[in-house]
Amino acid sequence: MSNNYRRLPLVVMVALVLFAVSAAAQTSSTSTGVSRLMNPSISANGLFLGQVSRDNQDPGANGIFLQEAEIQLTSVVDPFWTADLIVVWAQEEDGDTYDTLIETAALRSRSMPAGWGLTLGKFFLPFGKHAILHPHQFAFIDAPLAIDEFVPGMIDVGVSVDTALPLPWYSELVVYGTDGQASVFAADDRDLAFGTRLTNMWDLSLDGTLELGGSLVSGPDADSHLTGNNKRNIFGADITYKWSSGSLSQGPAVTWSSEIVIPEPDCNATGNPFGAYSHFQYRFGRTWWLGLGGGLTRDKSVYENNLETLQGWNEAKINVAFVPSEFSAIRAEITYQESHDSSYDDLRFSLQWNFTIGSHPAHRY
Amino acid sequence: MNFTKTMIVAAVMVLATAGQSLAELKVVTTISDLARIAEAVGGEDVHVTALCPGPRDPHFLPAKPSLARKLANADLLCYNGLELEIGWLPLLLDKARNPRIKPGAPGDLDCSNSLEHILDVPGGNVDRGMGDIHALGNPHYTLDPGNAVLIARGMANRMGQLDSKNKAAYTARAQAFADAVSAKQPFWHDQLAEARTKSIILYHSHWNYFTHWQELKVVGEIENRPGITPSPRHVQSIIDKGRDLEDVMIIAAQWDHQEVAEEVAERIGTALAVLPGYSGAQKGTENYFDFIDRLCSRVAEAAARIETVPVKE
Repeated sequence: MSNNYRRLPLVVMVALVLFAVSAAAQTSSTSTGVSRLMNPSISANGLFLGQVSRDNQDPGANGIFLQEAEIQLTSVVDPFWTADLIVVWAQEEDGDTYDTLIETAALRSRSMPAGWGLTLGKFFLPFGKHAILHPHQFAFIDAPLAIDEFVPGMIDVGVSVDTALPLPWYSELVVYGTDGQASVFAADDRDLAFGTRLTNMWDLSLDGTLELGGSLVSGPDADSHLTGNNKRNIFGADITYKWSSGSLSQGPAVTWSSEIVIPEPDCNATGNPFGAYSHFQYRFGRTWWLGLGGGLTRDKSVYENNLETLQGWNEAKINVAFVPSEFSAIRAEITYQESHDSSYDDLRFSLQWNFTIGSHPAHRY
Repeated sequence: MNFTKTMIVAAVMVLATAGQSLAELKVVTTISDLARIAEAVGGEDVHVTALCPGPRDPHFLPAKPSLARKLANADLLCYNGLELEIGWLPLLLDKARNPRIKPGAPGDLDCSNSLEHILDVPGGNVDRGMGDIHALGNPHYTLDPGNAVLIARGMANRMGQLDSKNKAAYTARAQAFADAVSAKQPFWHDQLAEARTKSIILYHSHWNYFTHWQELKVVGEIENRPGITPSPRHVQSIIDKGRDLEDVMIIAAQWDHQEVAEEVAERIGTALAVLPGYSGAQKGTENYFDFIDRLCSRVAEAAARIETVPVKE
């Protein structure tokens, strides 16, 4: 017994040493070892806005705001999947509160048979050129009226398949089915939404490309309780020309993009709604961009006390951006908006700055 | 009867040609230097396409979906690595939907893995305050022909794995490429004997492998932070430094901002050598050996005319 007591400190010391070695081994194999290499690519964006409006007295239209903050995680999951998670804190219209939104939480696979791609989860619905962009990718500070009015919040949960068509030029077809809860639908029923997009692109030269796209999405009508219409179909077409100097690093570059969005009129509605915009961007110095844009909407049905009125807007924008690197930018912008019936107009001056930190995936072409 | 025979012969020829093209290993490289090396190693057994044309700076290649079409049918993708293509290759691979060349697949070849030494691997903390820095080291290693030999051997090995019946031919061609480089080394070395006595200011660290290989003395860079426009203050400090040195010359790539490089050269009163960044970037440099010849001859010419350039105040 006494021998056992004498051995006790030795046993305790050996146990402590073993525990320490074990803990060290666990530490190195989980939090600081190989597992760190397996961590996802992590990045964050911050988007800030200072704005003053000539006629709009709303607090959200005047002041200095954190417009949006975003965190993105991207990683290969296993030999079959890649996953993306994007969480956004976006400013509400009152300018004081923030909405937390999971923009993307999806698995992507490019290992399907016959070159098909598969996406499962919550993602941007591939409609047109602009509705799929994060705000820090916008050509101007705000989305065009056509997008804001007719296809806002094109995010939903579902499945999407895509493939490159066997044509002499680049042609990609995407077909998707989702839960029908994107804000453009937002119906409180069990209907699903379906859509498709066809993108075609040609190289006009070594440095220039032309892209033509067509989109269709069909889902439950958000205003069905007013219109009696159960389905809402939205059509879109877009054209984009891009050119960048092939002989000079970060030399002159041009992007011209135009898009039209045509929602099917509500049941019993009297107008022919549509929206369109055209954006032109020119890099005139290694770090300087000039942007010119214009857009309009027509015949959007707005209901008050079950009475329909048709609204339309026009807008014009000009901005200058200083982009010292791909990880930060400062933009000064003037926006003019007027109602189609000329009953209201406004002039707005905005200054926006943004940053990106961490390992942010490259943006699509 | 004659018509029938002609049609049969034509059909056989078409099938034979089709069979031949199917048998070719389809190799896609990211930069033109790798394409030239792949052609030297693969010979008639491969069909090689480069994604980035020689005249374009591969740091900023637009990820055009048409380039993904080239990747879609590739059997082997040979890329530079060390994050040179990080801004566009992942996007193209995603669009290509080609499991044969996805990371880790047999058709995925990071050519930087063949190197014995990588220059400019940053020590200590790295952050973007240092500019568009390559955290894994300087990626412009093909500007040293010794590295081209290592890459050729790595390519031959991988081509042999993918196309075992031509393995011996790939190995033999890689050896022939190595022999050709060895044969040219004394000529290239002698050509830059005078330049070795001068000091050199680079526009961008693109040339570090070239200057390291040729034992040239680099004393500064106009672009002090990679990928970031140099500040007027830094440009002035480089001009002052150049004026303090007796024999100094400037080296820039043809895609660098020439007006800055020219101003620095004029205000120091020295020669500027504008070099092709990669093979094919200038006329007459489509072949890898012609490309290295051009680099050496342009630098030698500039070194010889330093004395003749007046100073602009």
